[in-house]
Amino acid sequence: MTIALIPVLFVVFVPATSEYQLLVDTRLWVSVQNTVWLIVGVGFLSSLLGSTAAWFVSIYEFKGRQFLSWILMLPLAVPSYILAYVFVDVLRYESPIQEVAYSLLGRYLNPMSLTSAILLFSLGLYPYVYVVVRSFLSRQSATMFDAARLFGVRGVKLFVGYGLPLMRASIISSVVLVIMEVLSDYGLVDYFGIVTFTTLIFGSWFRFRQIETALRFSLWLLVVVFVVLGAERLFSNKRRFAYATTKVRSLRRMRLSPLQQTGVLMYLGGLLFVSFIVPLIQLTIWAYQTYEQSINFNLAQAIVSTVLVSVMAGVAILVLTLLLANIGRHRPTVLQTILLRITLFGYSIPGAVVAVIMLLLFQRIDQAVDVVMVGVLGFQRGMFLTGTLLLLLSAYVVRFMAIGYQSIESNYQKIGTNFTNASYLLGSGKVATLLKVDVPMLRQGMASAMILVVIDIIKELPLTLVLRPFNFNTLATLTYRYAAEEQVRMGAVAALIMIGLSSVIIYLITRPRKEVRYGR
Amino acid sequence: MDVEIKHLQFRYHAKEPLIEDFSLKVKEGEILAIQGLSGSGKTTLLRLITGLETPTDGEITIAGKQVFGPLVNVVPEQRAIGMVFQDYALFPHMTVGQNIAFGLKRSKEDTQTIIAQMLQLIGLQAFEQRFPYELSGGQQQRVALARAIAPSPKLLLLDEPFSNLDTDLKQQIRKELRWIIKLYGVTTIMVTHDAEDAKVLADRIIEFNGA
Repeated sequence: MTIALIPVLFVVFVPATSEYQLLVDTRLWVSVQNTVWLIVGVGFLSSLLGSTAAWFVSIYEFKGRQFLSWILMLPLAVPSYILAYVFVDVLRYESPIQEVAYSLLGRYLNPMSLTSAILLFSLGLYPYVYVVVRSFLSRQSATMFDAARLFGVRGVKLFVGYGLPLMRASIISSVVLVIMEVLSDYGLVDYFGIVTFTTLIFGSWFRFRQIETALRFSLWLLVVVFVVLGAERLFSNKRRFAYATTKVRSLRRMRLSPLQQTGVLMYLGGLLFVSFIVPLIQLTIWAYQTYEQSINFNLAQAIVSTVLVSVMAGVAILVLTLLLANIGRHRPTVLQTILLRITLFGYSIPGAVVAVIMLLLFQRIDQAVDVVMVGVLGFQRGMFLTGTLLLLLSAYVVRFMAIGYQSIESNYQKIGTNFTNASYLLGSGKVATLLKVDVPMLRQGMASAMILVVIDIIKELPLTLVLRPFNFNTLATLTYRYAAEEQVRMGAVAALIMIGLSSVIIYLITRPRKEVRYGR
Repeated sequence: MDVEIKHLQFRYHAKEPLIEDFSLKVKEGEILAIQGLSGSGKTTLLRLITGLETPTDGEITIAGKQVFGPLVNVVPEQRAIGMVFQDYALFPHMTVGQNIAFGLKRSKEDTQTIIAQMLQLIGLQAFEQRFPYELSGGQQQRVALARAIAPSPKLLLLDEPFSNLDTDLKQQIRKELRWIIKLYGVTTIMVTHDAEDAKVLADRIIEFNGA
């Protein structure tokens, strides 16, 4: 990854092409505006949806709470671009919703506007905020809330005056994840015709075949990423609250009146309905209409490819992560710390940028190999790395390494270093300890790392679009291709399989498990 | 002299030294208690002896072999030290038997014999197939001790061996532990903040306040 970053810096010295200039003159300002609106709009709306939903299921007791608290995560399984395909159709001109809108507003709604992009991104991505905030709240001590209640603080006041400041850090860190997803998105903005840095990167590559131009826009996008990460630091202010006591009693949920219960249920149910159930119904209808044509060899191939690449990349990430996490936990040197940081930065880099950088890197390697081949053997071998599965897989590894790392790292922290040290003292070396002690104890962490990586790769679109070998499709690219060819309905079966796979995986991660007890 | 530490010094990065010019001699078979307040660097001292932490200066000799010095730094796994951790660190995915066998590099029959001896020594013959979480605190501690002494270490280290036990258990287990260690004859260094622990278990007590 470090090596991969170097070509990015060199592009500044290469004179820009006229196409780059053209895009800068005509599109750059628009894309800056769009990006800012998307960040602000989606940031606000998704944090509102996510934090209120988390607040309700954590603080209050009502019928169906447990089920809702789980199923509200499921929209994670629906990629934003699929939400877009569905809602553009739901809001087509002859639909009843548009009739209602016309009679109320005197005009039709534009389903492909920036506003609806903000809405759809928020609906699809609020679970990031929801999951993080909910898990934060579950670790809060009951006594603090009891204290607030004794002062008579309740309802909205409790949320605004007490909940929000408490949840601030977790909201901010999860909103940053949401914003990264938005910056990374290609499927939705492309379908809506909204110009962003990602669409500029893609345009430079697919239309002009100019990787340097794509790289320049990648740099622009990286600047945005840095600004966002900088803002996170500024706002979160590294405020961590620590308990003054070790006795943490978990929250006792407040009862709600029947009327309040109905209100909460309608809010949460509505959220779930729009973000998950509507898409599911619409896709099912389409699937029913098209299954005779759309269940074909291409689909079968896409399923196999999706499973294959996600598992292969998952295993590669797992192995690398284990090695990295091992460096990280035993007093790393300064150099090791820097390398670790850079590796983990991959997740902040949008997929399109990772794609461009990796493509360039592999092209350079190919060129270098070619020079050697000509010199030694006297003939050209051509591109032997670019356009292969290896390129795609390495890009996945770069992009998603951080997810795997975090999962394993947090497990390592839970376990501590005593077991490992005990093993060393009993005469086992580093490798033996890793295999006999660490790996068996990390089983759960490794499983969840694998699952998280797989779920992300199943949904991944931009990186896969750029780097996939010729004629190679995943479920995501297949769905995208149908949509791009104005045949959205044909992609419904693939989309449903994708959502089904992801949902099962989410279930596997979140289902209650028997805790493995360590130590005492 | 079985264990000898000379002019040991340790500091984290560029900070004030945590341990300054510490020297110590322990006779063969002796149980030495190092007593000090929490935060005085007792556990760090044990980690330096094991090699899990590297001293900034000094020498450590165990059973006549230098394991740390100006030119030597033997890795932890080759120092032949047994250690009972404060939280025991029994491998949760292994049975009592497997835990005890972990440090043994012997044939299958020998290993089985040693496990049986150890279990008899700590009075847990019926527990070989149990997992650590199925044991009480006192039982876990005895298994940790058995695991540490099974490979016949040259030196045994105990880190706050009783801090996780109930008060009424302590009295009995202290005596039991002393009996086992003496029976086995292994040179032992323990660190504790509890004067009573030191008095019952150790042959000799020294005060320690790091730097």
